[in-house]
Amino acid sequence: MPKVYNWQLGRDMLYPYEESHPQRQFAFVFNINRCIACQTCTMACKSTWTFSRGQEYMWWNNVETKPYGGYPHFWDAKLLAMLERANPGGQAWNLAPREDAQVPYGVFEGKTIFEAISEEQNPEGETFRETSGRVLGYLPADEEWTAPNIYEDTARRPDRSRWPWGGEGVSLPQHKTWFFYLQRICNHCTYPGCLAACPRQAIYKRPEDGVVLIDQERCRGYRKCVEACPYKKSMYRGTTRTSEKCIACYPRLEGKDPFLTPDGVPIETRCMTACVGKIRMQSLVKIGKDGSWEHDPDNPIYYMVKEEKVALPLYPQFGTEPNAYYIPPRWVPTDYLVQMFGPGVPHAIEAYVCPSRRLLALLQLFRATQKIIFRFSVVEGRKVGESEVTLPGGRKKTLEIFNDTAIGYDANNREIVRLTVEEPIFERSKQYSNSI
Amino acid sequence: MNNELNNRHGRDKEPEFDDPMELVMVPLPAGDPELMATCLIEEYARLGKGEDEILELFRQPIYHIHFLYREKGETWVRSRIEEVLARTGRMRISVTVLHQIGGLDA
Repeated sequence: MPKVYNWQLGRDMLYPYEESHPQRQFAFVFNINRCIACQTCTMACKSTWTFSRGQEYMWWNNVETKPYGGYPHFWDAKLLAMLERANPGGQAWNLAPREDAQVPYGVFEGKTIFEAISEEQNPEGETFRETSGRVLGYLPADEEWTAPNIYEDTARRPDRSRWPWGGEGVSLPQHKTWFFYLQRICNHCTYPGCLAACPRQAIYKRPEDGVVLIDQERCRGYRKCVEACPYKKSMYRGTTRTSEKCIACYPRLEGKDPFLTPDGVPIETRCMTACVGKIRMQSLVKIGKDGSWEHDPDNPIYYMVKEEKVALPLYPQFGTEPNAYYIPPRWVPTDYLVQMFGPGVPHAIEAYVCPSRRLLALLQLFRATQKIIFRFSVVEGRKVGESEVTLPGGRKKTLEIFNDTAIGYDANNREIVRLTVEEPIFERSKQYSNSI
Repeated sequence: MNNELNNRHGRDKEPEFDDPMELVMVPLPAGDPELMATCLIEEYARLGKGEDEILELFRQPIYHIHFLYREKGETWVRSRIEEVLARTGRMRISVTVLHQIGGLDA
């Protein structure tokens, strides 16, 4: 069985196919801290791609409330439990310090979804492809695909004086704990579980942008991809008897729509474009022949993932090297976040709470334009303010704010947007309005 | 609704753990919802939102942070917002978009 290098795990791992990498990779960052779960992204995707018969339950983009929500229900808790059963007590990271840029989070010493099935079903040393299963996974039952988000947030009916259409509804105990919203689309993984599991080789990764697609002609609807995708983002359609998944809005990514992109530059996916909370940014990162990201610190995604390490992959221990990156929520207990985003969490939160000058400028560019930003630059201005911020653990630090301008450039290296940070406003509260 | 029906309401039934549709509750020993509220106020301040706009978010019953508004009341929420804004101010950002995509909603 071939070995491939997974930089998120800091080591080689088993995978059914030899390494083969695209020239560029569709990658994106979600800033969890700013999401209000308005579901505009969800509906933008739904109304574009999954509004037809047989697709009713499909939410290629969904936003779920952690720690208690999930779609399909308990998708992550179930797989984490399966991995723990396959490798009891062994799903751990070696955090010995390393200076290797290709080992940013430490070395994962547990088993991935490809390795756990290999151990479990291959005791006689058979080759990987001869076993009945290729990837550790499960097929969600029908009821697990029902009612996304129901009562995740509002177990109690709304106040009827403000929301008269609320009706009686139900009354369950209200969640009284911390929470955060997790935005999820297909991760267009470097080593996709769906692709590994497909017995028809109907799933492929595009060489030009790394988008993972299901060839609808070849697909026979065996649902092995549904079973294998650890993020449960491949979904079966009964009316066509094929599986479907997020296509990264590739017509937009290609910039070939004569109406939307007359100048031929790539534009953001529907879910990214629709984000009113300005939490999403996407780009295409350059990939070397060995699969590593080529050094490109002016690319916004490269800068956040590789330079600042402020954005982290979701469940990197699954082993698929997902290309969605998340700025973790800073109020959530670290243990929980480390399980979800790996050992890079403490650094990422510190980098976000008190961002560097360049990062603070870049954070303003989120959702500033519908065109994909391939390069950004910062024009420095004078210092206009500072404030004290509290880092995790209670340490205090001073955040300096500068009159900097962040500029975004499109695929043709043309300036498309610029944002300038102005002096912050301090409003005197009403009780002190005449106190000077 | 009479007493007999009230007794049979779903909320009064004991949980059955072999029921696949039963909601499962797990304890979350760590974490601080008030810290979460402070962090969220800081985030919206960085986005340039003012006191009234942030307060309106807390008032929304479909947004989970509303549970703190219900529990602690508007005065508490408003004072927390004032406290954060007094410390951080709200960010002001000017935006210039060039080469806007034309036509209908893209």
